[in-house]
Amino acid sequence: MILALAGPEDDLVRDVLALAANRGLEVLRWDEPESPRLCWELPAPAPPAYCAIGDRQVPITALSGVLVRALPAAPLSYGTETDDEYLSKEWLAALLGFLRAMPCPVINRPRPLRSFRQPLLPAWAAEIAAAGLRLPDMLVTGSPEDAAEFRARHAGRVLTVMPPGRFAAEHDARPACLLATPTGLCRHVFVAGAEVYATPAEAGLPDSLAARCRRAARRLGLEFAEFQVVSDDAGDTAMAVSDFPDTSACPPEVRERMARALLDVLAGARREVLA
Amino acid sequence: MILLFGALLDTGIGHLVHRLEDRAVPFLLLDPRQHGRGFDLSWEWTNGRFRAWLRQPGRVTPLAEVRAAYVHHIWLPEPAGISAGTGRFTPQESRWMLHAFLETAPFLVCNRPSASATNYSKTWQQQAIAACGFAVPRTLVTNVPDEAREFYQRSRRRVIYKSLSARRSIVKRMTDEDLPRLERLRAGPAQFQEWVPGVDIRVHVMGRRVYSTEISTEATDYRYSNRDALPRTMRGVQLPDGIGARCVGLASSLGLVGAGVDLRRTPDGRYYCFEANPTPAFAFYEQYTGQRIADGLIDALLEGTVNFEGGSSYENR
Repeated sequence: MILALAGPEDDLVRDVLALAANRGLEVLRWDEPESPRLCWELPAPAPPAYCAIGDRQVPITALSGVLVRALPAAPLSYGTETDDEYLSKEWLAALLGFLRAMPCPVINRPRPLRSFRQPLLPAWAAEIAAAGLRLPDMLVTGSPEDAAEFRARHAGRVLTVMPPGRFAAEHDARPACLLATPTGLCRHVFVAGAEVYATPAEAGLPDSLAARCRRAARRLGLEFAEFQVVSDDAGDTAMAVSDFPDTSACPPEVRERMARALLDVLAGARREVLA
Repeated sequence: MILLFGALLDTGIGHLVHRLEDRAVPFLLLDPRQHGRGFDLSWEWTNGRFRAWLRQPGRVTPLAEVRAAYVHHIWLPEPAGISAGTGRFTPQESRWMLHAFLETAPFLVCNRPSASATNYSKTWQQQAIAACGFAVPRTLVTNVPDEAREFYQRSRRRVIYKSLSARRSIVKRMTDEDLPRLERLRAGPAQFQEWVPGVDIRVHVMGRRVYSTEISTEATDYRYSNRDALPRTMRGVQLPDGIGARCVGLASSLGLVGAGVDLRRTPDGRYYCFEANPTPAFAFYEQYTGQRIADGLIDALLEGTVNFEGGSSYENR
């Protein structure tokens, strides 16, 4: 049995679940409007640990894998803003504990404060560098003067990353992370379980780059990751890393191969679990 | 120089500032609410080198001499009389930036946001505590009223309940009168723990230094004993070697340079661990016991690094 935490619009989840159905694997889907029932004990998950949605109740020990593409919000509204805020924090705390307690693979097992979908490159810099990927020169600032000086120094070849919920076009005097962009070949490299893919396909994927991205994903504890990499004579520079890969621009056959690789992990075919 | 993040009116920061001044240690206090108002912070990595600077009205100050940073709070309510959002940055933008700075700065940070965040989910942290070899109380997490009832009965009605997140809650003993209220669980989960008898011990880990305070009270949550008009006494104690080392190991495994580890010693001499607080109110314990916890923190910050290699050695203060 596979547990999927995902919104209804997620193409990748649709692919994984379709393949699971083809293989005759059962899936319990936890969608946001649902109100699941959770019960587990620490220090070790033991009966009666389970997750239940509607009339389906699944013991935690029966799960072969969990696919996390969204952390569902608190399922109900309770009236006051204070109550809602408190309960949403309690839900999130319960979910983080629950997913850590899972004895099966979790793609990706969330950690407190790892900002879902919005990882910050500087925060992961040490792990990325240790995996052999280069990091771009970067400036984090809210000062228009400092931003202008950095842009001038890098001849305008700068990628601007804003805080979650904001867009680069809004950058006037707002906090932002500015990344100096090397001139080179840009690829999106996806690590899915044991497999590594890159787009655009015609750019190919050198073994050395695949190995670096696989190592970086492993160091970050990610079974599923996307790296935006620019390669030039100096090496491979990671411009962005995501624990919520966007596969929508991938050719259908690449998406299907990734879904198959993820399903292998979720179904227990690849038992290696990242810490 | 030591960078401090917090508000001067906060007791912990106030006490730390006092000790830093007494010891003539240079420091710079940054009130996060002034970010985008009183100061701007910029930093860059160029060719692998880190450089940071502050912009304040009329001057730019390089932060070249920073040995360490202490973070009390980077998320504070606006002071009375000042409306939220009157600065150049929204509170969310400021938090994003300061988080990023504290996460990536190459000097010692007590504590980095990712390490502090382990406290956002008590049950997430409890699993890390158990992995360090501490006994942890049997805990049920659920939003199913019947399961909570069954746990209460199975635990011989010796159960406490408290919040799951970092939001402070008063730990309460569950009673039969609470049983009808369990229906409210359907709105959101809670955690229930077997009640562990014994004496509370707060262990402040500051780098490798360990300060242990024993708290004696009849209150379920000693922090709020006054509310129940129950007396409370506190005194410095020495921990058995293995327990002190385990506290240092726990802080290290969570990435915490400074931590307030909550233990309970049972009548048969076992040590249970409940949680590791990343922003401990050390000044509170210091005022009752005279333990020099703030000085331990300053020493750890001045060392500029915490070398946890070699595992179990520590200094019992």
